Order: sequence, then C-alpha cells, then structure tokens
Amino acid sequence: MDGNFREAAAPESLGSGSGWGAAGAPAHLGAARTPSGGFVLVGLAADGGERFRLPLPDRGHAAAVHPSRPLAVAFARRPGTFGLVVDCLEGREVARLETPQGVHFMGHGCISADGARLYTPENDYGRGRGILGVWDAADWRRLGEVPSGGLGPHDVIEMADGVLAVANGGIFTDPAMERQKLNLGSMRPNLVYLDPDAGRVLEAVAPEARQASLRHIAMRADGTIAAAMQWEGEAARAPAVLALHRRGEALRPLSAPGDAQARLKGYGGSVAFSGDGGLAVVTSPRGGVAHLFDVASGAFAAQIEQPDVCGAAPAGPGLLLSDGMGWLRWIGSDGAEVRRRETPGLAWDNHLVRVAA
Amino acid sequence: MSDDRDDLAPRAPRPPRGPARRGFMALGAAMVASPFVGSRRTSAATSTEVLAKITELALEKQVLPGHKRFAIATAALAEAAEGCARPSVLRAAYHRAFDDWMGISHLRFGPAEAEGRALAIEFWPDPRGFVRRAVEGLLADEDPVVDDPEGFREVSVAARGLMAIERLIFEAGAPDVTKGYPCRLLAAIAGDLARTAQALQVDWRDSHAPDMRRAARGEGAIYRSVEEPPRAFYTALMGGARMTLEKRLGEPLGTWERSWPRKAEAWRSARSLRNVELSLQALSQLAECFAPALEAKALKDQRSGWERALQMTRRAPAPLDQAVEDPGRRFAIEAVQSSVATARERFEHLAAPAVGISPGFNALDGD
Repeated sequence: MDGNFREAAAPESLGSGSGWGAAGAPAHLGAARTPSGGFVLVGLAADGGERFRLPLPDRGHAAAVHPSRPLAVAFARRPGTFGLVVDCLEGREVARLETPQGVHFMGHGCISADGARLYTPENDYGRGRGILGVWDAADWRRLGEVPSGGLGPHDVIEMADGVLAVANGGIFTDPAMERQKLNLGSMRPNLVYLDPDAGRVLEAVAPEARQASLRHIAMRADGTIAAAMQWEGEAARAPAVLALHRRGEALRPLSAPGDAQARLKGYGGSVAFSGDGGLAVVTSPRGGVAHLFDVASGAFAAQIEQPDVCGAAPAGPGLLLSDGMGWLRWIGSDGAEVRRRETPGLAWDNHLVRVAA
Repeated sequence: MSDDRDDLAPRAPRPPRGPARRGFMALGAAMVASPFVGSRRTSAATSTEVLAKITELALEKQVLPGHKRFAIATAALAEAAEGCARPSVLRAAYHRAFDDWMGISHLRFGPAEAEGRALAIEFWPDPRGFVRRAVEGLLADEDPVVDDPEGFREVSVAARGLMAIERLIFEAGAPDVTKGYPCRLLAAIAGDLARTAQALQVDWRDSHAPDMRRAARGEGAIYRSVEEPPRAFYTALMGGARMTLEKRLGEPLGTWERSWPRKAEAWRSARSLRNVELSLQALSQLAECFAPALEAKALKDQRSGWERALQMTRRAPAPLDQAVEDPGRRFAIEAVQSSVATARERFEHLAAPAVGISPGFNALDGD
C-alpha cells in the first residue's frame, strides 16, 4: 500500500466531527480475492469506483460499520480469528481484534447505534457453544460474552430498542476438523432476539425444516428481519431459503413459483432489503441467480441471472449485487437492472456491506 | 489453517485476471437466459455429446453400481451386528463394507453431502479423538438411544459409521460385543450405517442420476447444464486425490523428524494402505470416464499416471502406520505420495480444460 498516497487523498483532519459525511467516504465495503491470490477489503464509491484497497491477513467475509465514526471492522472468514478495525477515509488499519483461545469469529458483527459496543458471533468450540463477543467500540477491548441462544451463531443485527437479532445456523464445527459440519443429524437453527445486557433470550423462532441453516439476516428500518438459509438436506427436498420475520409473529417463508425455486439449489448466500425497503433479495452463488420478493405481499418479483452472485446490500432506493467473477450490478427498486460495472481482477467474496445510509 | 483446505470443497484455482474472465463466460454459458452472454458454447471444444457421455460413464461404471454394492455390504454388516455375531464374522463384514465405501467415498457432493452423510459414514480424520469420546460416552452411560433408530440419527456423528464400528470390534480392550449393551450399541451403529447407505443409494438412483441425465438435455433441476455433472465429478475426483495425498498419506508421514502413525486411516483394522490402494482404484476408474474428452496421447498419459501410483502402492510395505516410522521403509510411502501427486497433476492438466473448469469463488466454497 502506498501510505503517502492514502494520506494525501484523505481529508486533513479526522477529528470527532469528521464522520461518514466527509468527502471520500465509501458507500459500500466488500471483501475480495485478488489475481495474485491475496485477500483485500475494498471501499467502493456509490458509482462502484474504488476508494481504497486494504490487504487482509487471510480471507475476509463481512464487516461491521460504525454508526458515526468512519470506521468499520472487517472480519476473517470462519474459522478466522482476526478482526481489523479500518479507517474508511484513509483506508488503513487502526486496530486489530483477536478472539480468545478456543474461540473464533464467524465472519460477521455489528456495532451498536450509540457507537459504544461491537457484538461478534463466535464459535466457542472448546465448550461446544455459540456466543456473542462483546467489545468496547472506542478502544476495542473485549468486555465479555453472552450465549447466542444456539450453535453456530453467524450473523447479528442490533434493533432500534437495543435488542440483538442473532442468526444461529445450528451447525457445530471445530477448526481441527476444517469446516466439516459435525451435528447435521441434530442441528437446530434459529433466529433469536436477545437482550445483550442480561444475556437473555427474549424470543426464538426456528425454520420448520430444521436442516435449513438460518445464518444470514438483514433488517428493514421498521424491524422486519429477512433471513437467508442454507439447506443441509437432500437437494430435491430443499425448502424456501428466504424468510421474513417480525417479532411476535411466525416466520414467513418466501419461495419462487414452479421451477424457479430450484434455481437457488437450496442455498441462500446473502440477504438484503432494497434501500426503500420494498424488496428483499436472496442470492444463490450455486445457482447463479438472485431472487427478489415484494416485502409487503411476499410475491416473487424477479429473478436476476448473475453467475456466482453472492454479495447483496441496499444501494440508493434499490440494491447492489456483487459476484465472484468481478461484477457489480445495481438493481432499481422496481427489481430491474439499472447499471453494471466490471471490477477487473476482483473476485467479490460472500458479502457487501453498506457503510453510509 | 486455510479455508481452502476443506475436504468437501476442493480448492478453486486462483483466478488471475484472464481466467477469472473466462470462468465468468464459461459459467454464463450454462444459463441460456443470462443477460451476460451471447453464445451458447464456450468451454473449450467439448461437445454436449462428449460431456453427456462422461456423465453416463461415471454413473454406469462407478456411481450407481458402487452405491448399490455399498448398500448391500452395509446391510450385511447390520445383519451380522443385529445377531451379535462372532467377532470374526463382524470383522469380515466390516472390511467388506469399508472396501465398498472406498469405491465411492470421494463422491462427497449431492446425496453424500446432504444431511452430512459422508461424515456419518466415515468420521475421519479425527484429530480431536471425537470417536473415542462419543463411543465411550454411550458405553459408559448405556444410553438407551441405541434402541431408537430415529433417535440414534441425532447422537454425535462421531458415534456413527465405520470408525465407531472399528473401535468396537478392533480396539484392544474393547468390550465384548457379542452380548449385552455393547452388542446393542454395535447393532445400532451398523443399522444406522445401513440406513444411511440405503438413503444415499436411493437419492442417487431416484434423484441425482436421473437429474444428471436430464441435464444433458438442459432439463435438469439440480444440474442445470450438461457441463455441471462432469464438473461435479471432476471436483470430486480432485478432492478425493487430495484426501489420499494429504490425509491418508500425508498425515501419518508427518515430517522426517516426526511421523504420526496414529493419524493413519483405520490403522486399528490395518486398512491404511489398503484404503490408499482402493481410493486410487476408484479415482482412476472415475478419471477413465473422462476418456471421451481426451485425445489418445493425453489419455495414455493420464492412465499411466494412475497405473504408476497403484503400482507403487501395491509395492509399499504394509502396515502403513509402522512403515512411516521406519527410516528404511518410510521412503516407499513417500514414493507413493509423489506418484499420487503426479497422477493428480496429470489429470488436472488434461481434464480441466476439457470440461471448462473454472469454479466460482462463492459457488464452490460458500459460507
């Protein structure tokens, strides 16, 4: 990295007044693989132009965005143990988190709306349980942990009332066994709402098909959760891989009609709401398609063909999709493509994160 | 540990700028309606007929008969265990089932991936000693779950399958499995294994094999294009070769300073080297199914690679777990390893272009 160039490109001062509004802030973050086989975190402008590129120690996954300061935490792909705190204006690492012994990150995390805490889903494989790590988002100290309410916690979102929505994929892994799934016979995925202060589960819902590993979630401004699932059963019997949920209600699975549903191959890789909240998208890299649904009616809205598509995030009123072949595509709030851009040499990894609303 | 080192998801080639672009087009070609692509055919010059032929050969020569044999062998093992048979009878039935598993164990996708069946059939490698803990736990508790087939599917996956059975009938100091709780436990594991093998066979026969055949006409639901089944077989073959190279041979070999005999596969039943040989047989059999895509010279080269590896294995001194510790015999195991590496490289080099392999980053290796 050319440090001088980065500094020259950044604003003069990054004092407390300099938040996401500062010129040069990226609109999205994504992890990617480079042609040389290295891994990077990339900051993208609203038009898909590259704002910065930061080398990662290993393969990345997703990132947590600070609500007020121009910071994000990029996480290692499981079973990685690093979290990189990144200054998104300068595109440089400012701190590094390490999980305790016997614990690894799951690739996701979220920072509370007051900017005080970072929550990280973690696999406490030594004790065979799922936990959320709790970190101070000012000095990045680890404050403690709470049980996640299930095995294999993967994704977490803070809701408006401070309650955490947690996707427990239900799958137990042990890094000594390389990512192999050790409990598919007894897995119990769920979507849990928990009080992080009391460490108490307030509500839990489970997919009807208990081999549907519910592990990625997105939230709309009104608190509606969209959950993407990965089917661990026989392909021919794959159920819906997208569901909507509101607290106190039942999970609402959404499927495409007829043969279209089979295109997903039982695999929801990523999930997002459109910027205006009207659409929910689930991506399937294995099927090379993304499915869009109308949130209000639950109706199937569109199928987007995009080989190896996985990353999905709100962008403007619509959506941004990324793929492992090096393409970005913007989808309008009507579900139609608005434009696309090639990012030569970058294989976009599983997730895109929006950094500025 | 690198994420790419996942037995279920063999490593995707690093895509430099050019190949990434080609891969994009190759995958895009599978999707007729894709807005990205104009042309139908892209992957090298391999015709639809040749791709369909590879699939048909793999199904007919290996997949369907192999799974049928394994289902029959595990049913026989279950029957012997059910009747609390003599150890010699149990051991013979176990070896037969393990032999047949080695004929298909590299096919770790689709039906074998569903419900984690491959791991439930053979829980190995086991660096944490999960099998011992799980089996000893059931024995110590005399857990009544052994009398409930549905419930038994939910016990630790390490207490299921061939490695748990091996521990019960080969481990020195194992309890007498001809009577009492140990017999019931063995019967439960063997019965569960037979049901898993049966489900695996049925899913191949009724779902995946017909779908692969429909894919040749672009009518598959699970496999969307004629390229997908050969690619799945290619990936499985490469993953199986890596398993033999890095796990079956590499783990016990360790380093010159330190070998790890107890990391050998199924060393208690003295199968380690036999498994290497049977896995190579299975891999070369599957590689042979790609013959329609290869020219005569390429076919000869790729055959000779597997033949040499098999030859080296047959000459190697068993048992593997002792040979790796003996400086005088260790080199023969290392020679097997390098011959397998050569065979794999040849296959990769010759077959990958023929089936247009350039796997998607996320599709192969999701999270």
